[in-house]
Amino acid sequence: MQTQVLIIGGGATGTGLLRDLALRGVSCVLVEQSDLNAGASGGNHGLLHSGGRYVGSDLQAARECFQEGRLLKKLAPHCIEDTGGLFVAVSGDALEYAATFPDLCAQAGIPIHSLTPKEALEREPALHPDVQAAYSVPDATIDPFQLCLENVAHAKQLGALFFRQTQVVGVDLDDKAIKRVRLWDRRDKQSWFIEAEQVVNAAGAWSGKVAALAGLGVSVRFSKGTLAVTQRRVTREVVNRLRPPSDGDIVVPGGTVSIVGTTSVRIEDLERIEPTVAEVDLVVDEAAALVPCLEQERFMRAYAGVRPLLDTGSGGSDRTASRGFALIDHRRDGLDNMTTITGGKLTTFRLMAEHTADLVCAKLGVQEPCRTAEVAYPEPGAGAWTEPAQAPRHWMARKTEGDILLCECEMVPREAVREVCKSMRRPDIQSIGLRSRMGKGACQGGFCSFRTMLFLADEQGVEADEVLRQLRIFLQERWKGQQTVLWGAQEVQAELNEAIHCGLLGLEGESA
Amino acid sequence: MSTNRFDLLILGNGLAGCAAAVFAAREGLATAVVGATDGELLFASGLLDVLGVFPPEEGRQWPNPELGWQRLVRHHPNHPYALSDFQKAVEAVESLTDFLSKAGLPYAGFSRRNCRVVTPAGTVKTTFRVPQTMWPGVQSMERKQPALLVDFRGFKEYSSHHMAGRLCSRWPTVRAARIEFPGTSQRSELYGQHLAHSLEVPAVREALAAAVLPLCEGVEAVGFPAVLGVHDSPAVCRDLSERLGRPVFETPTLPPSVPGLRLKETFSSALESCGVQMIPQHRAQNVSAIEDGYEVVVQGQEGAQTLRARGVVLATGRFVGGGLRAERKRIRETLLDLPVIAPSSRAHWHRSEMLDPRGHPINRSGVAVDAACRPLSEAGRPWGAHVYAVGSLLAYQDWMRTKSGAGIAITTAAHAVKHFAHTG
Repeated sequence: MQTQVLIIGGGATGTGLLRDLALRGVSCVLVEQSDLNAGASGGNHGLLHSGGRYVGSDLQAARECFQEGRLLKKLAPHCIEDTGGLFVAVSGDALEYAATFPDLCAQAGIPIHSLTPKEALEREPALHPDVQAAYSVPDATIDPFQLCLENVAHAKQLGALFFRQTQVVGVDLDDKAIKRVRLWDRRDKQSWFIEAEQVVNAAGAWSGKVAALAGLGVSVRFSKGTLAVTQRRVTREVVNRLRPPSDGDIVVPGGTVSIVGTTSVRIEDLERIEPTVAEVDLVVDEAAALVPCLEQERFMRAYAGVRPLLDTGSGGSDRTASRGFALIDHRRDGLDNMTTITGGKLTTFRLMAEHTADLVCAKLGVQEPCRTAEVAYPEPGAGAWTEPAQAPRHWMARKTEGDILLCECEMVPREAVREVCKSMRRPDIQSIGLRSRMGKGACQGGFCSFRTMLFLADEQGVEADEVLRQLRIFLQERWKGQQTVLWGAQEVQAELNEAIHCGLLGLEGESA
Repeated sequence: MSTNRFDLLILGNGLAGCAAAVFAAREGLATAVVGATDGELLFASGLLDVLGVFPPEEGRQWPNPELGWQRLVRHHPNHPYALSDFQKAVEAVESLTDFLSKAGLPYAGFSRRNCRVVTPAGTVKTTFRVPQTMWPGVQSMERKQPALLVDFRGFKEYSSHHMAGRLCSRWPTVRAARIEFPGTSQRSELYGQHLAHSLEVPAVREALAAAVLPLCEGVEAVGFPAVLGVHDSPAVCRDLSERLGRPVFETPTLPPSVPGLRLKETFSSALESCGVQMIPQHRAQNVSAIEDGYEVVVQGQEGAQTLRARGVVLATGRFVGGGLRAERKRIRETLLDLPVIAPSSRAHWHRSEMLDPRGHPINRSGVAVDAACRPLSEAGRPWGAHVYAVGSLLAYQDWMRTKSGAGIAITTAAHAVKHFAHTG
């Protein structure tokens, strides 16, 4: 296969770049070793930053966040809930930071309003009653899965290609360029090649590994952040602790749930990015100082994301490391047609993609300007089924005769799963889960994954052993998320799930 | 309520609680069963396992559970099975199935051997006794007879196509067919309980048989999901068998299952007719020792009442049943705050793989008991002279991985009641 640009990595940056290039008329292909948003783009709280969180550490990043956030609210409103946000100091917080906050926000161009404690509590009754200082900021939330699905869907409409479960395993070099990239199809267990004029490494935390395949050194530090998800939404707005960024200082609504975060732990091994019980307890205890009801809430799952941080060589902690991004033209290393884009944040993915595409287009001799700052996303798009309210809305409207619910917690009808399947080659339980709400409710896939398995067996002709294999993988994926939050009602659910899948079905056994 | 004074008060109306009530009634004890919910039995599969797998990490299945039992009690002297022996377990199970059979819910199995039944995942499960309505399927699979598995459009947790596909090497002559359940063309989703009730109407059975008969050429037995009637499933099966001219059988479904519903309804009516007082939807709040026994406060929707008994059986179950509650830092026994055997930190409750064959350490958590099945207090002595704990609440067992839930429930219930009857 030949293309002008090969992009490696299906996170927000890679999919954003795919769309950016496709809008400029450049032929491009995206390959992803697992599936969309497997790294930092999926393992975050879905916060569309106002920039307020970074004013103390990185004014430039704060400014970019605010500008990009404002733009995305216009261009992709269906992926965003414009919740607004609060920064709140409670008793015990050092008020020096609170005192400098308005001035820093002004320098970054972020409009904020000062609130009295009474006003803050009226807006968010779940806050700790002992509010010391509060400001409202233009924070919002974004569904990163919907966003990336929309990026890919729009790019595909424009002729771009996306291959999931496709890993880069090597590159063939000539003097000064990559001639072709060797790929491994993890499902077909076959290797194949792409010849590209330009190659972009957007592999996030894995970008060092990808660069190494071309004999290059890209230094990336990894910081793991753990987040925990409640069963219900505890605040209307994003609530930030008004102090320098630290553990467990943010509560972000995500549709029908709240996401509580986060930690920052340096890790070396990218294969096991999993939260620990101690991290979850730390996050819950810290966040409960801001929103006390979290102490009693039912948590459904926890997950960890890995942030690639720029190694600026200046030392300092991972919290203060730059959340800006780096665009590396490997011409500097003697490789003319490779670029690495790394660092950054979900909120600024579009800007990162724009800078990258500008560089790549200059190298290709393409004159087309960037259009992602003006062109809105088509609506409704491919990512619609990831939206919490979408499936129930569809279900209530009952467009299809004879439809049934495959997921009862999140009301995902079979018709929605059929539609999701149409967008993929060889759909499986896991990839359906990624593209819909299936398995995201309180039962955490206990029943709906079984129904989805039978749907794949009956309607998509997937063989019996294969669907059972997929069921085990899906259950394990959900388990990874639940393992650290199994207390109270969630332990009850886990026991019931195990009684079904082990007690009755014997899925843990050899003969199964 | 006619009386508030009993010989034995059983807290919990799952299988362990109901079994204890059966044995207590047989001993002539004045007995009451307090059920926190409308019946945990709805979540039962209807199969009665005694010991299917041991040790779980080897996944070893035992056609003869007695051999597995001996190995288990040798390796795990604290296991509830070590309180008893296999012969007593078989007697207890048979005593219970006799009771169920007389109440219209017969069970079947090999006398001392395990049998195998196909699950809705298409896997094959080792169990000890199955509802008689499942038995022709067990035999049919064992003999590799040409059989037809029928399912219904809209019954979404059951696919005979998938099951037959999964069974192709073990049971090559099994085929699958999907039909529309009679009278459901306007309905998209079907639920087991509705189907089971509607099959009690002869006209529905006639229509079902008419739809299935044309598919039966060369077929020696016909299987359906376990929805063939609620109150008299053997009669429903018999009638369908006659209409189809070949044996008809059921296979298990996911919970909440109809065989579980049958157990619940059979126990509650048959226990009542032998004099056991059933007090459903009440939760025991507090147990205290009084001069001649125990006083138990139970809370229902209409308020609290105080019951007195000479003996108390905790059959309150684990997390699903509410006998145990996992808190962030500890596991609590909910009624007496008994000491719970458990890994110290939540980080060690579960393993990193859900389907780790060894099972999760939390599965073996629970209440420790003495040789008479009496739960131990902090001091290591029985909490009360006639307070017993039975069933899944007990520590040192993993019924889900060893396929022994019913066996543990029934055996420990029999053991506790016997002790009480002889000493209480």
